[in-house]
Amino acid sequence: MVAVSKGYLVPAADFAGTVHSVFATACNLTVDGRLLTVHDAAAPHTPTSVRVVSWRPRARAGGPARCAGGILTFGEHALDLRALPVWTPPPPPPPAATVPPAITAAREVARIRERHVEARGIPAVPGLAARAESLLEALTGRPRDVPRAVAGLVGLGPGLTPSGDDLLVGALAVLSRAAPGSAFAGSAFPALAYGVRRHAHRTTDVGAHYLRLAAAGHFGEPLVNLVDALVTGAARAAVPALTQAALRVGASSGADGVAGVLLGLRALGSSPDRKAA
Amino acid sequence: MSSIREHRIYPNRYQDSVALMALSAALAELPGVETASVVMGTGANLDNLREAGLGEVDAGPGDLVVAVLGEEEAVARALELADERLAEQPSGDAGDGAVARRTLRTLRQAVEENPAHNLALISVPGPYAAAEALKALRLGLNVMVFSDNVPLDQEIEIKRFAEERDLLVMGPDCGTAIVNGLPLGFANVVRRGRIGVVGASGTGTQEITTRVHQLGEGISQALGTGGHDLSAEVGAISMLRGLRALAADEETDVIVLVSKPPAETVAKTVVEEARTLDVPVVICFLGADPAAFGGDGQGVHFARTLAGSADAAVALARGETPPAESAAPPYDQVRFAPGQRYLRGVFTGGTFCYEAQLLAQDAGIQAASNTPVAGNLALADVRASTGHTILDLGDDAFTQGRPHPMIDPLPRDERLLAEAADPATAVVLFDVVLGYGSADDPISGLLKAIGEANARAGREGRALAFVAHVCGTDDDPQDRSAVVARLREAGVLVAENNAQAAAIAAGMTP
Repeated sequence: MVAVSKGYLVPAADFAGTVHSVFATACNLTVDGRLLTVHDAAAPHTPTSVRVVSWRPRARAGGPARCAGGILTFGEHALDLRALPVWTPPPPPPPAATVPPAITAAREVARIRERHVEARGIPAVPGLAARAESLLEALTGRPRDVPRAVAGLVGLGPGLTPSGDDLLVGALAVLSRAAPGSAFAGSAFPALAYGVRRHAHRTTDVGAHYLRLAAAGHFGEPLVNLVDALVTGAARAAVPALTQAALRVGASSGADGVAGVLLGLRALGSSPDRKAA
Repeated sequence: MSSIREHRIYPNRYQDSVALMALSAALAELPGVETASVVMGTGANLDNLREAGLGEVDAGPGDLVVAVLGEEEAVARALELADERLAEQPSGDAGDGAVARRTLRTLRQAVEENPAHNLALISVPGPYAAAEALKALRLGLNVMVFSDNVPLDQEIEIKRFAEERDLLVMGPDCGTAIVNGLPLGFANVVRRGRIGVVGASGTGTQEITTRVHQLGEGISQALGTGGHDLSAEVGAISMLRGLRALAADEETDVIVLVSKPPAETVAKTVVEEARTLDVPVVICFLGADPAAFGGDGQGVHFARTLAGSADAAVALARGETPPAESAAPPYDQVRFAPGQRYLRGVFTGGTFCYEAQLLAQDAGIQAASNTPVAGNLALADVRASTGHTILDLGDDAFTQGRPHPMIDPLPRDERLLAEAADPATAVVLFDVVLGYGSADDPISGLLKAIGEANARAGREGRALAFVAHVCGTDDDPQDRSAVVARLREAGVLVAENNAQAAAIAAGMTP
């Protein structure tokens, strides 16, 4: 087992923590109230993950985890984090020509997502669509209602990161990355991030971790790549592949995250910016 | 009978969402259960449980909640089933929805459990595959190495090690085999029979075995060698061993060898070996000139195409003379708009792509490709087609970090749509590969893409020709006849085999 890269928020200094949860190809470690995920290199980067090759996690939840001198140990594993390549996302796209390309490509993204959901037989989560619409209405017309709309979504759905959480992360990604070029996104992102921070405790530990990261503008690699392509229109031909990469995250998290991206794009499309355009 | 509601809480238990939804559905389907839900105990989910009539549950976000409403006995049964399923799938196993079963952990355990086991299938990351293969060989097992990216020196080492022990190594990068009637990897449901195949090409082997089945004969064994076996360095160790094994097999009357062009010296060795055997051997070295190896005779028959190989093998098995390899059958020409002039091939099978390029060359079409045959052009950017283009979407350039398009055909469907949207495209050629390992439903998305492509072309005053072939049998889980019928209903010209499809497509191209 060898570490091959790490995210830019993985602590560089020594730390001590515990093993939070163990999965088929991933382990979550709790470090200073945050999660650090060690996962197979087949999965894409997140800000707080260490990617490794050829491993099968051998650790027990609750066991100790420690990083000293750049060597991370937990369970039966010891990983050398020194001199690892660090994945860092690019800065948000420049503020030129943002919204129209996003709106155009959204239809394509929606179509690919629809096929993905159909092909994998991912069932709809009761109440998710209606609550997502409430969030959209709040974002675009009733900013004061945003926290309440967020409360309806946080923790909604089965799984490790409930669907509502993933959807919120997708929406936050759009608003965060589009903020430099959109006054609407510039005000909607902090409003949504506030609601998310306020209610993050209502979901699973893992869901809360990714919600808090997103509220601070930190997202996984597939989401950053897809959203940047959408809001800049710079890599239109790559949108299908980027959409598929984002859809492949987790069991259903990818589909929910992309639903959030689409919701974010819709919010941009009905924003004052869009009307002005 | 009155309903009751009950729930169970599993503290700090994490499962992925699809697994939980599958469990919810399984519980809800039990007779007497009105509704059931398996979710994490977040506030939003607990609200939903209440609204669904599943009652008040006092749980935290890290707890897994199983809640059931229904007849008393049914509820008890459902909770028991949930308990069993959750126990089978250990806490924290981010599975794919399938329930985990007790499994053997080592090859040694498997051999100890049943000493009759004599074949191990190795599928681990390439750098570790040789070590696992050696473990299996030391236990006296033949080996199929599904893994790719195994260093060549390690491939040579395990093959020589196996030779010394009279064992067979199929692979590395061996995706297809049928052993004693059991399909391994990407393989089809074919009847057992008297034709044996040794293939350095997975889809090549699939095409030959399925056509043999369609022609009414069957397969004794189909052995894979991996794509590097016929290189000068490896020296066809596995192909020669497979050839000798089939020659000694009483159930094999005819042998077919299939490969992309081997190293010339290696090919000569293989052909010479074939000429010494008592059983007839059909050889298909795609793109190679049979004259370089002495041509037909002395028990050896050369075929130019995969389908031609199967046709020849069936004829020989029946004591007949191999038929001449057929040209493209008649077809209706499509009236293309001015400017439509290119052939675009979108393949999931690498050997199909290779064969299609060769046959297109016969028709005077020099195509670009991500895997060009000799005389064709390498695409500068695999994402953008140029002129005539024939793509292998199963190549590494397209499959890094994602499933092969035979497993997840979405990338193929997307690319097909993109090619069809190009106003210069006239003919779109593609394959559909059925069988074990391939997508359960490989064409629903494809048909949607074709519908969209035709609608767009119609709006723009263009006409498109879609030409395809379906590699598979009616006994495959996907049912070849049903797939062919659906494609034809959508206006696709479905040829009998890949060679015919390629010849038709090349002939149609203006």
